[in-house]
Amino acid sequence: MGLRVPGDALHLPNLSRASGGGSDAAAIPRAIPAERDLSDAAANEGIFTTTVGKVIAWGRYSSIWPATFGLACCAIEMMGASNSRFDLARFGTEVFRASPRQADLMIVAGRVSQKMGPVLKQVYDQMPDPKWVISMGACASCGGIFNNYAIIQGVDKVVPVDVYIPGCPPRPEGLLDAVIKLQKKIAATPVASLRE
Amino acid sequence: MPESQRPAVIAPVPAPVVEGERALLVIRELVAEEQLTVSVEHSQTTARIPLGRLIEVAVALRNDPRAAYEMPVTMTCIDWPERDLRFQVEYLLRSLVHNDLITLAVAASEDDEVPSLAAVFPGMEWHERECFDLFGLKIVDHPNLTRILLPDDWEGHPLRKDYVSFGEPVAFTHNLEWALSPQDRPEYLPGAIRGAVERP
Amino acid sequence: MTTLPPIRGDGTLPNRVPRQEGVPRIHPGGQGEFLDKIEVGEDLLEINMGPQHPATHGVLRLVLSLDGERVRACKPDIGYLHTGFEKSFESHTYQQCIPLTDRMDYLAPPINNLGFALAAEKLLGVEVPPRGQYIRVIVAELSRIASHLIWLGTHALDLGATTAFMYCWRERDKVLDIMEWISGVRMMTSFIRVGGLMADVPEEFVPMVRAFVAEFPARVDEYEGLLTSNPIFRQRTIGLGVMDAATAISYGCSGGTLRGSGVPYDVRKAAPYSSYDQFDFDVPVGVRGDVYDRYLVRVREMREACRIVKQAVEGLPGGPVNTSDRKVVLPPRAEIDNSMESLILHFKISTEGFRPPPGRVYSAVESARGELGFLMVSDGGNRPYRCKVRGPSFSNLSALSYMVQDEMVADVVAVVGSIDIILGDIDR
Repeated sequence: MGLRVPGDALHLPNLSRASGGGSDAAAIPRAIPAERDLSDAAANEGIFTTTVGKVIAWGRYSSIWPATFGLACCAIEMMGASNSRFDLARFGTEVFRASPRQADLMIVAGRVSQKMGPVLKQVYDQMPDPKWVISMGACASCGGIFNNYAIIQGVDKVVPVDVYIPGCPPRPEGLLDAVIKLQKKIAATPVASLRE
Repeated sequence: MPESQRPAVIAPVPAPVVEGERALLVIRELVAEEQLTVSVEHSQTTARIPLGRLIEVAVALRNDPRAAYEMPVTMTCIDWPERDLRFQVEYLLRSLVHNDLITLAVAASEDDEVPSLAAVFPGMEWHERECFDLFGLKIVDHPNLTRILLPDDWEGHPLRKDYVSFGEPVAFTHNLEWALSPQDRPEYLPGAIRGAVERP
Repeated sequence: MTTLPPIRGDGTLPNRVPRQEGVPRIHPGGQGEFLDKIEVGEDLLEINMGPQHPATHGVLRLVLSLDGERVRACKPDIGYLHTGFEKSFESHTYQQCIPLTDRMDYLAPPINNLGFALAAEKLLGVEVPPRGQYIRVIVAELSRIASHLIWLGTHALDLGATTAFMYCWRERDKVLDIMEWISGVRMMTSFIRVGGLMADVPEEFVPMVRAFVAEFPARVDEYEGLLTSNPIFRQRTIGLGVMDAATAISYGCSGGTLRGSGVPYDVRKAAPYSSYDQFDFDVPVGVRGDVYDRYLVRVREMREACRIVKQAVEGLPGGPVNTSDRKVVLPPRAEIDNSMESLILHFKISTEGFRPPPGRVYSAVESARGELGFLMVSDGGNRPYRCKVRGPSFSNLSALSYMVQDEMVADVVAVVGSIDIILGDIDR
């Protein structure tokens, strides 16, 4: 079963030869069906588009710029990961952009309180596509040790998460591992599916 | 010599054996003995005074040079729900000049109006907002009595003993089905999860 | 004996002298009032700074009312990190509360543990042996150094000096290596527990600490070489955010914020705990009460903390690290194999915990930010009945609206950095 993506149907008339088109019908492509079967994406793309897809994916994962969204203790380990000993920048996350409009990764580092939930959602919405979310630490992933009235039990109740990092706080190497896993995930994502 | 190496100060005044006795000198001049309850625990003095005398005692403790309790350390409530006056409101004041600490305590119920000490100690302003926020303590004459730690539209006062705090049921193998269906038990999700995204 | 400025006796709030004559000034007290005092014809722009902001040091929201570039009123909006610690303390046993306390002031977690442990030990009436107290002092001072390094790095980063950020983290990683060696965890160590420590330190601890102490003063000279005489740093910080001593005291400030204004109040000297009175160290104070003085105070505090660690590690006594009261601390493993009573006590402590007698105590320690106090009330059960945490940053931040009055909006960042706040303490 292929990966079905509800796509915008290109409402082109069926101009194939079988329906008896004009003499120049050969040059006109088939109408694209409403639901695209992406499992054959790689097969449908052809050699030229797979290479371009790979290059685009490489460009995307090699320069993921995070938005500063350090909330609590995990933010300190995130700062430690970007400093001289662990050096997150060698994986492409060179600058932490303050403005979400210029960032493509949101590392939710720390516990999200009830008051902060709408702010988190708003910052996520302000990020342009393609965007990814890493949920760093136990509190961001599942509420952590704070199973109480004040903390949202996991940011995936508010934003979709790509990579979860366990730990309280996770070691900086954990964050590096998460970034690498995210890079592998981006490399495996076909570029066409990101058009939605 | 760099500026940060310049010599620094000083031998402090040694702390008294029982803290807060200086305050009692001043308080006893203002409050009658039958209205005052003094308790000393672990060498720390707590002076329980009537609610109406709070401001004048606080001003006297601040201004009187024998006492000089100018630093507002903190203010808090302790909730004893089985008592008539359920809140024991405590104000901790410190005297830096004499190196001393006193706790002023007043008993208040949920409906009693506690006068604000924000005009006497600016540092108490936020502490009073916090007590209002987390306990629902009614404070009057406060410059800005709004919720400070919780969202403005939050209902309830979490630090009261009758407020049940629960985030999410923890799923074990023996209660998996129950734990994963919280929508049947909305009471397990106190406080709205704001901004929740509709997941497809 | 210190002499403080005369106390104001008329019950009014302290006012700041306006910087410019003829410019209407809004009363800084009563943060809800600032909108009411606008003069007719004056137009204020209200802008929002945070909670997602690179320079607010956490999720702090500041609502600034600007007249051009000048801040006429600043209203901090906190609560974006409210975690409900005090409610959580009431439903956890005393040992279970220790890992919770780690997460409050998360730049120097062992100091939170120490504060909680001291309060519980006062309620219980147990005494920690000297070796335990000395190791507590070493761990607390090392974490104070680590916290000040973060403060210095981020403060300098906000003002544009990225190199200091990188340098400070280099040393902080060394301190975290020591923490990891003794407790297994870099940050949230939970090493200092009620009744003593998690365990005795391994034998590599003393050489590691000695090596750190030997090289650290030279590193502080490096940081000072970058910043203290730097004309850009001086121009950005001298004369900014001035707060006089009486105002600072009336807001309840403590720590570097208070000492920068000239008040030599340090809990380690005023009410010594955990054998701090056996060490020789100075308490630095500032003169003008501006951002630069607070910077100097904290840099000097790093040196003094290094001095304390050196004295403690050289004079480290032998012996047990935990109290001998078997009702509080787990008995050693060898005893459990031989004694039924030890086995039962081990079981009871592990499951139920210990029960302090009913009582109430307020116990303060000097955290990196100021006076961290724990007001602990016990009703005789195995959980605290009420544990109020007096976070130093809560009171320090309430003075912010006073300090940024009539400053430029670009300087708000410098003043916020100089107060050294941590939202975990503020919002709890």
